[in-house]
Amino acid sequence: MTDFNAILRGLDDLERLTLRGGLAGLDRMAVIYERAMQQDPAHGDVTGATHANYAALVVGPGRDTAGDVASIVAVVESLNPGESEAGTAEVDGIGVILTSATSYQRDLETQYAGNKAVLGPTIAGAGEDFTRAAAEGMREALR
Amino acid sequence: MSIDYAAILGSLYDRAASASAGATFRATLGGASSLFLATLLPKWRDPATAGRPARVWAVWRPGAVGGSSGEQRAVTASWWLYDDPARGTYRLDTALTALEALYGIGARHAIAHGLTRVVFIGQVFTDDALGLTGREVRISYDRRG
Repeated sequence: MTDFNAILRGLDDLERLTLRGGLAGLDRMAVIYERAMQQDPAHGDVTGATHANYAALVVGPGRDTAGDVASIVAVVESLNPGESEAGTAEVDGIGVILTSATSYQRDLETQYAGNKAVLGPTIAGAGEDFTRAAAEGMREALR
Repeated sequence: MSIDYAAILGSLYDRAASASAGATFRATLGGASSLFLATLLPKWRDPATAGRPARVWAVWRPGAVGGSSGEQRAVTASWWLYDDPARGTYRLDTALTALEALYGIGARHAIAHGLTRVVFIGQVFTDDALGLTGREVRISYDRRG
């Protein structure tokens, strides 16, 4: 006789493992992208705040990144007081937010047709890498 | 088949800058000299500079390439549209609409062996250094290579 409860438990486990694996894969790739943005030579950095606060935040069930956002705001305030700015975003499922908490980031991203942009070009090139990282993490989790 | 980035970016640029398909888009710009490379922007910073092109401008800047060798690649570039703040956003949006037609859903196979798309339309911003309002329209050419 079919044990439907066992099937449902298995499906729950599958979802849980898949999400966990996807998050682990995104975490690995986020470290790489965060470091790259923090070393990006597209612009200078008088106080050090601009580079130090670039962040790749992995979001998903149980990970709302509020603490991470508070951390990067604190970084900006410690290096360049009064220049922090933060907002909110919602991600369905799992994902990554590439962001900065300086009030002048918008200008860096747009002036002279993006001559000093970091987030825009990074986001444009990151999709394939993060998608592959999430898929690899899921595959590892399901082995 | 390896990817020829120069050929792809050249094709993406030419589609707006010189191809017959881009005539409607070019008609939304200020004039023949209003379409140029981003490296020339500092030259036109001062509104009093002689020969400064009429707005609307379309400024070309190649962007990042996503993906890894042998897998799916995304070759990106942006047209940055600029206008005088006093003109509001209507002319910018008219140019934007023409760009969407050039690279959007009806032109996905405009460049061989890949998929051409508009992947990002930025919000209107003010560039204080130029004294102009602007919008970014980012395009992507995706293919394996």
